Amino acid sequence: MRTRPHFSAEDLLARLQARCTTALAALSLGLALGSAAQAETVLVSNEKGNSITILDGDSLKVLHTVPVGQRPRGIVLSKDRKFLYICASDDDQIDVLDLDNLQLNAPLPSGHDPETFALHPDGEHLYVSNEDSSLVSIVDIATRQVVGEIAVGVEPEGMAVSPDGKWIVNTSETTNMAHFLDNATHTVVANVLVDSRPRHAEWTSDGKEVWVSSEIGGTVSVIDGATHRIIHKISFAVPGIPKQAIQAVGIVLTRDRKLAFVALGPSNRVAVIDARTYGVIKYLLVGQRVWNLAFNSDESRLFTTNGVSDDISVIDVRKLRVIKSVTVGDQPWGVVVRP
Amino acid sequence: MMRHRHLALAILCLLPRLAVAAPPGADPGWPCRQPLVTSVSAAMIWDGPPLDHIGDWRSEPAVSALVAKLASEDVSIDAGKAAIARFLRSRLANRRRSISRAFAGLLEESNQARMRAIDDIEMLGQRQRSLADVIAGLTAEKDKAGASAAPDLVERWNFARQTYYQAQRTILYACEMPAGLDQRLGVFARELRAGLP
Repeated sequence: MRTRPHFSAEDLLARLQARCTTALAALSLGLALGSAAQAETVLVSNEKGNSITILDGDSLKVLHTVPVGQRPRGIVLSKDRKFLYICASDDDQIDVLDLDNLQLNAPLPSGHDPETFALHPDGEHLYVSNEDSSLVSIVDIATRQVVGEIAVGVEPEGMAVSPDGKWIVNTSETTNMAHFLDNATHTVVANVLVDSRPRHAEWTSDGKEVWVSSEIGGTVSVIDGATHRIIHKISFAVPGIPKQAIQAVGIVLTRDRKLAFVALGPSNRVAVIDARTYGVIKYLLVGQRVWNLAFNSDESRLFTTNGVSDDISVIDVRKLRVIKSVTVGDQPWGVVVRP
Repeated sequence: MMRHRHLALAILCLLPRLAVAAPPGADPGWPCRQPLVTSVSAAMIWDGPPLDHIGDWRSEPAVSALVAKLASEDVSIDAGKAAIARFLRSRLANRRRSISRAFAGLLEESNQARMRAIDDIEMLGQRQRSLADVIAGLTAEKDKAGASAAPDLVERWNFARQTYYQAQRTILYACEMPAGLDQRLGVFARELRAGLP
C-alpha cells in the first residue's frame, strides 16, 4: 500500500513558491526569445541599387541587402507580414520576397511600369498605379491574376485604400487630380483637382480625410473622404530655403490623428503638422531629397528615405528630433517596418 | 558625369538650331522629370554656424585651396573626403570660422557648377524640341507623298528619329547631373560639419 508523503503547511508554501519562481523564469525566457524573434525590422527599397536593405529596428544595423528586380520603388507588407511586395518598375512585375528565408517567390503581374501600390485591408488585393498606361490595375494575390483595370488620369502615382476597404484614391501626376474610385463598381466617382504633380495619398485612420501631397505645388490638400471636397490646403515655408525646393511627397499620420509628417523632397526637411489644426509645428532637417516615410509599430520612431544621400533618417517621434542616419543602398525610395 | 556632359554637348552640336516656343508649364524649357531647383541654399544642408559674418572664404589660403580641390570634377568623392580630413587635422587659427568658410566656398562653387549644368540641360531641351518640329515636318511630308515618298526623304526621316531617341537618352543622363552635384555637396558638407568643435 502506497502512503502519501506528509507535508507541513510551510513545506507546501515553499514548494509552491519554488514552482512559481520556475514558472516565472520560464515565462521570462519565453518572452525574451519571443521578443528576439519578433524584433522589428526596417525594409527599404533602393531604386538604383535594385535591392532591399533590411535593418534591425532597434540597433539600426544593416542585417541584409537582398538583390531584387529592376528599379524597386513602392513596397508593402502582406497582411500576415510574411512577404514583402515590391514594385519592380522596370521589370513590369511585382516581386514577392519571402521575409523568413529572404528568397524571391514567383512574381505577381502588375500591368506596365508599376510605381506604387496599396494593399486592400482584406489582404487579398493589390491596387497598382501603372504610370505609363494611365491605369490602376487590381491584382488578386491568391490567383496571381490582374482581375480589373480602371482608367484614371495621366501618370497615376499615389494609391491609398480607405480603412473600410470601400474607396480607393489614386493621384495622377499630369492631370493633377485625386481620383476617388468605388471599390464595389470599380468606377471613378469623383475627381478632385489639386496642386501640380500629386504624389502621395494617405487616409486618416478613421477614414474621414485623405491627405494628398503635390510635389511641384509644394502643398498638401486635405480632402473630405465623404464629400470629396478640399477642406484645407497646407503650405510650407522654411526660412532660407527657396520655394521650388520645397516639394511635398510622402505623408504619414499617427493613428490617433494628432500628428502628421510630410517629406519635403530636396529641401531636406520633414514637416511636423498638428493634424487637427493643420498648422506646421516644426521642420526637421533630414538627409538629402527625403521621399517616403514609415512609422515603427508603436509610432515611437519614424523612418525617412533620402534618395540623394543614400541613407535613412530616424526620427524620435516623442521628442520630434532626428536621432540618427544610416547608410542604405543606392537611391532609397520606399520604406516599411515589419513588426 | 563629365563624360556624359561632354557627350550630351557633342550630340547637341549635331542637332539643328531652330527657334521654338517654350512649352507650357511651370518651368518652360526644362526637359527633366526632376523638378527644377536652380540653386541650393545653405539652410538646405547646413546646420552649422551661420555664414553671415565669416568674411570672404577666398581670403584664407588653406580654405581656398581646399575649395578648389573639392570643386574639381576630376577629384573623386573619396579623394575629396581625404582632403577635408587633412584640412581638419591642420592647425587652423579659428577652426569654427575656417570650417564655415570652407562650406561657404564649397556651396558657392557647387551652385556655379549647378548653373552650368542647368544651362546645358535647357539647351538640350530646346534642341530636342527643335528636332521634334523637324520630325513633325518630315512626317507630314512623307505621309503626303505616301508610297511614292523619295528614298532621300525616308532616309532623312529615319535619321531624324534615331537622333531624337539618342538625344532623349542623353537628356535622361543630363537630368541626373544636379542630383550628382547635390550628393557630392552633401557628402563634403557632412564631413566638414563633423569637424566643428
